[in-house]
Amino acid sequence: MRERKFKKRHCKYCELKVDAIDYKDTNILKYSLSERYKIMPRRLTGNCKKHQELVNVAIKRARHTALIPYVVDTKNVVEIPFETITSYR
Amino acid sequence: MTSYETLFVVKATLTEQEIAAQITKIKDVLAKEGGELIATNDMGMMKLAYPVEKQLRGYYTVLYYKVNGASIAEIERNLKINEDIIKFLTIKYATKKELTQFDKQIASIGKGAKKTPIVAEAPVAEAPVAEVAVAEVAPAVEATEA
Repeated sequence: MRERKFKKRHCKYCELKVDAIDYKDTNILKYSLSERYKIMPRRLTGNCKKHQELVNVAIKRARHTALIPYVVDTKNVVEIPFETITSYR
Repeated sequence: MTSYETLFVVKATLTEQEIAAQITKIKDVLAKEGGELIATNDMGMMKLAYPVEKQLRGYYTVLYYKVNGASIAEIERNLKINEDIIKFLTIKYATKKELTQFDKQIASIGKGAKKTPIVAEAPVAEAPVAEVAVAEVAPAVEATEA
């Protein structure tokens, strides 16, 4: 029997009582992103359908506005995930 | 009049005054179209997640406003033809639920916007690999120069 990589959990967004997900708030998006910045499926994260739909839209918007990367591979490495988004002033 | 939010990114190669001029330019277009600017959120200079038009940094600004739907095309046209603006995104807030979110976002401007705490995460496994690659290349370049 293959070991399950992720435990089935409760929806993080339900626990935080989020009613809308803003694409500019990248910290909240990270619960649904893999380390290669892919959108994690609900079966692994345990998100509820309502929040998964919200987060999907938010992630795609954040990608479009260059807040989070589309792809992360050996040629395009993010040294510290989610820490790249900092003001330098 | 519908509520909208527009985010745009100005090139980082410009000086501070030039960036400010670009922002006022867009605000002027909005005013000309009869829009009502509610709030502005200057997110400041940020690193882009991936290079855009060979730029690695950009100045993020978010405008919250009310305008007739037909004017959006004109605003977006202006953003599109401007070569100093590398990215833009307009979002419509129409339903009751979305509008409460709209007001919430305006209220949260300048309060360190991000509510969720940053949780330290293990760095991506590829990171050291890339560093090694760079280190290997560097001495080779020096050797050829000598």
